[in-house]
Amino acid sequence: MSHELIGFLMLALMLAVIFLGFPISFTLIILAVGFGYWGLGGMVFDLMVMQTYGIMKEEVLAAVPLFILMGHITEEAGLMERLFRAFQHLFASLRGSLYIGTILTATIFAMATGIVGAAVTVLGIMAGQIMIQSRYNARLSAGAITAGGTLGILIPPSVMLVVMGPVLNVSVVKLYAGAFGPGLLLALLYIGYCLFRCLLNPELGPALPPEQRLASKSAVLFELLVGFVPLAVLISGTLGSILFGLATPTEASGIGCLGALILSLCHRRLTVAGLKSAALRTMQTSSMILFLALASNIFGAVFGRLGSAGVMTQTLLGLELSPMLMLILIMVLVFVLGWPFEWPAIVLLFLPILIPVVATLKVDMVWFGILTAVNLQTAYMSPPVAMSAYYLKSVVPDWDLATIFKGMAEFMILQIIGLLIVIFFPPIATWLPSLVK
Amino acid sequence: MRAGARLLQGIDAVSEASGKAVSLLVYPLVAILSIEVFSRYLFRAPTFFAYDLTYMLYGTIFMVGAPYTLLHDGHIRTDVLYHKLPKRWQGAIDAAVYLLLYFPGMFFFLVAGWNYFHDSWVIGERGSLTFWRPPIYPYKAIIPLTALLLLLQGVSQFFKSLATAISGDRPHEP
Amino acid sequence: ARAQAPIVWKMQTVWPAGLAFHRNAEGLAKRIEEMAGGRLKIDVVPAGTVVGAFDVLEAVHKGLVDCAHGWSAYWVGKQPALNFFTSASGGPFGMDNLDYVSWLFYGGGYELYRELYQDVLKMKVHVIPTLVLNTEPLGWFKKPFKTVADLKGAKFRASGLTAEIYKEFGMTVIAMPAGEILPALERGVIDGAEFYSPYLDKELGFQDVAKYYYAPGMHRSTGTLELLVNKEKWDKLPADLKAIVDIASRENLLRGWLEISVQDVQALEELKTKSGVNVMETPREVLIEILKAWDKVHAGYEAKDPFFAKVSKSMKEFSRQIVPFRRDFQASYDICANYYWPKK
Ligand code: NA
Ligand code: NA
Repeated sequence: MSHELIGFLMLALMLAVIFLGFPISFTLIILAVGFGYWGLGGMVFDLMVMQTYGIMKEEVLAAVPLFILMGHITEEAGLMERLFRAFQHLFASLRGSLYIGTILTATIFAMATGIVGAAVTVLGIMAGQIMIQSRYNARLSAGAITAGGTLGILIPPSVMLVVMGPVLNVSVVKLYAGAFGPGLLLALLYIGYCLFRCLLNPELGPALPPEQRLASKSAVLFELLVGFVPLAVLISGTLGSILFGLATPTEASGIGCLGALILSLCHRRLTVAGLKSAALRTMQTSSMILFLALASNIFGAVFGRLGSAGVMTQTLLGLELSPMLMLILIMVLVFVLGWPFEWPAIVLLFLPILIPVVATLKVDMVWFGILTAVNLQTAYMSPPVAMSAYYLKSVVPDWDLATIFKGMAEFMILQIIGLLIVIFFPPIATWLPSLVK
Repeated sequence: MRAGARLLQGIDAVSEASGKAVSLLVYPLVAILSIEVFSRYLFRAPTFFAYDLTYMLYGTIFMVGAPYTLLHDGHIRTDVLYHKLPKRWQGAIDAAVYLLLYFPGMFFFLVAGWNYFHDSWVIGERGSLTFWRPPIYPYKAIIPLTALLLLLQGVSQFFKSLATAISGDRPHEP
Repeated sequence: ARAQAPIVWKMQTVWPAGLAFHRNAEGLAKRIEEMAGGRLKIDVVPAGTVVGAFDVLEAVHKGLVDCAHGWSAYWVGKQPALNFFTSASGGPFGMDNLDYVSWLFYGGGYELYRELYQDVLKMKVHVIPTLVLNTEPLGWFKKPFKTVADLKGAKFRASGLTAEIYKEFGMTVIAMPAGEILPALERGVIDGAEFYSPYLDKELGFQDVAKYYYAPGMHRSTGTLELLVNKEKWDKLPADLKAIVDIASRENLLRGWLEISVQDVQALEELKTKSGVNVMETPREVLIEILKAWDKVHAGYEAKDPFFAKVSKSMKEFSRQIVPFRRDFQASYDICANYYWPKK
C-alpha cells in the first residue's frame, strides 16, 4: 500500500477509534506510531520523541499554565464572581444578561490573551457556575462560553496570527489590524443571537428576579466598581503590557499571576492550601491540553511524513476552478480539517501545502489570512478534537459533552455567517491594515 | 492478591507524589518571569536564565504531570458514546486498549526517549538558544522519565479497568 | 532493459516555505534531478513539516528525512566548533567569502567539517557546503544607537556563538529559526534581530516592526549553508550520482550566492523608499568592539575544547597567509567605489 494511502487510512481510523472513549491524546499517539511504523518503519519512534521535545521547547506555550493559574487564583479570591455579579446587575432587567456578560468578558479577555484554553477555562470557572445557579439554558450557555473563549485566537494578541504571518509571508502587524474588524463582528453576532433567542424564549436566560436585583443605581455602580476595577486593572495590565510592547505574552502571563496573587492577598484569601490546590488543578488542566497538543503534533507529523498532505495539493490544482470557487473550496477544506485537527497542525502542516494553490488566486494575502483565521476558530469547536469543549468540560463537569457540542454547533453557524460576511465585504478585514504602513 | 493490590497503590502513590511535586514548579515559573520583567523593563538588564528556565519548567510541569492526570482520569475522552455504555463495557474497552495498544506505544516512547536522552548525554550537549548554554540532557531526560511513569501508571489503570470489566464496578479512586 | 525506479529523497530545510533560502533548496533539488536524468528526485519540505528547524541535524542522523538544507550554528550547543562552518566573526580572522571558501576546499576546512559531524559528534551525516554567504548586516533595531554602551540590556536574535560576543556588550541573545523571528520581535521577546540580507530580511518582514537597519555587521562576515545527507543513504548512492550531487552543490554555492546578491540591491532600495526604513552605517567602533569580544570568546573556547582549538588553528594559519596577500594585491573596494560612486 502506498504511504499516502496509509496516511488517509490512519485519518479515517482515528475518526472511528476516538469514539471508543479512550483518552484522545493517547489514541492519537498510538495510531500515529502504529500507522507510522507501517509506512515509515522504526524512524517513527524518533519522530515521536523529536515532536515531543519540539513542544517542550515552545517558550510561548508556557503562557498556558500561567494564564490558567491566574484564572484559578482569581477564582479562589472570588474576583471573577464579583465581575459577573456586576455584569449581572448591570444588565439585570435584560433577558440573557449573563450571555451578554460572558461574551463581553470574553471579548475583553480576547484582547488580553490569545490563549483559548485559558479563556474558556476562566470563563467556564467563573460564568459556568453562575449560569447553572441562574437556571440558564445549558446548551446556549456552553455555546456562549466556548465560542466567546475562541475569540481570543482571532482578536489580537493572537498566537495563531503570529504563527500564520511567516507561513503566508505577510506582516503580522497587518494580520493583527485585519483581525479586529471580524473579531468584533463575531462578538456582535454572538450577543445579537443570544438576545434574539432569549426574546423568543425567556426560559433560556431569565432576567434576574426583581427581589434579587440591587435596589439602587448607586449599589449597582458600587458593585461594578468593586467587581470590575481590580480585574480591569489586572487585565488591562496584562493586555496593555502586551499591546504597548512592555512584555511578551509569556511574561505578561507571569506578571498576571503575580498581580492575581497580590489581589488575592489583599482580599485575605491567600493560603498555602489554596496555593497548592491551585497549582495542582493548573497542572492537571495544562497537562491535558499540552499533552494533547503534543499528540496532535505527532499525528500531524506522521501524516505529513507519509506524504498524504502533498496528495491533497495536487488534487486541488487539478480541478481548474474559478478563483472564487477555489477560495470557497479551500475554506471548506480548512473547515473540514478543523474537525480532527487543531490550528497548529493546520497552519503549519496544511497551509504551506495550500499556498501554491492560493498564489494562483491572486487575492490579498492579508484578507486570505484573516478568512483562514476566522475559519480556524471553528476548529476549536468541531468534534472530535474540539478543544474548546474539552476545556469547558474539564471545569464544568455538570454539562455533558453532547450538550456542549450542540451549543457549539449553533455558534459555529454564526461563525460561518461571519466568514461569509468577510468574504463578500472584504473591507471589514482590509480597511484597517491599509492604514498600517 | 494482597501484594498485587499494594503494588497498584504504590504505583498510584508515585504518580500522585510526582504530580504534586512538579505542580509546585509553577510558582518558581511565576517568580522567574516576574524577575525577568522587572529587571528587563525597569533596569534594562534582562536575565541570562529566564528564557531557558521558562520552557524547562513549563515542559517539566506538563510532562511529569501527565501520569498524575491519567491517574485522575483527566485526559480528555470523547465521551459521547463512552458514557452511555455500561461500566463493564467501559472497563473492557479500556483494558483492551491498555494491553494491546497503550503498553506497546509507551514502551517504544520510553526506548526512543531514552536513546534521545542518551545521545545528548554522551556529547554533554548544552543549550543552543542562549549564551547561558545550560546542560540540556537533564531536560531531555524528562521524556524517558515521563514515558516510564506513564507505563507504570498504565499498569495500575489496566488492572483497575480489568477489575471494572469483571465486577462492573469502578474501583474507588484516591 | 527496464528503466530503474528513481531514488527519492525527502529533504527538509531549516527555513519557512516563503523564504529565498528555501527556494534555493528547491532549486538545488531541481538541478540534481535534471543532471541525474530523473534517477534521483528530492522532495523538499519547509521547517516544521517533519521536525522543527533546530532538530534537523538529528532528523537526518536518525533517517527521519534523507537530507536537509541547513545552517550549522543552529545546533552549536552540541559542539561549539560548529560555529566555524557558518564562519566566525572578523571575517573570519579577516577572510572574506572568497578566502573562506578557499579555506573550506583548499585549506583543510572541509575535512574538519566532516570530522566534526562524523567523528566528534558521531552523527550519521555526510555534509556538503552548498551556498556561500555575504557579510551579514548588523541587524534591525527599534531605536537608533551610537555606541556599544547603548546596546546594553537589549534582547536580540542571533544564532551560534554570536550570543557570547554580544554578551560582552551586556546584551541578551536568543537563537530562533527564521520563521519565529518576526513573531518574537512583535511579541517583544526580542528588541532587535538579524537574519541574513536585505532580500531575505524583507521577505521575513522585519521592516514592519523595526525601522533602523544597521550595516555592515561583523558577527558573520561570510559563511556557508550546508546540505546534510544521511550517511547510509549517501553511501548507497552510485558513484556517478554522488558526483552529480557534489557538482550541483558546488554550482549552487555560486549560483545561489549571485542570485541573492543581485536581489539584495533592489530589496534595499524598496526597504528605503517603500517601507521607510532608515539604513544606518554601523559605527566603526562597534565593529572593532565585536572583533575584540570575539577574541575573548574564541580564546575561552580554545582553552576548553580541543576540537574547537584545532579548527581555530587551521583557520588562523590559513588566514595568516591569505589575508595579508589579498590586502596587498587586491585593490581595496573603497578606492574604486569612492572614485566612481562617491558617497552623497
Ligand atoms: Na487575543
Ligand atoms: Na476540531
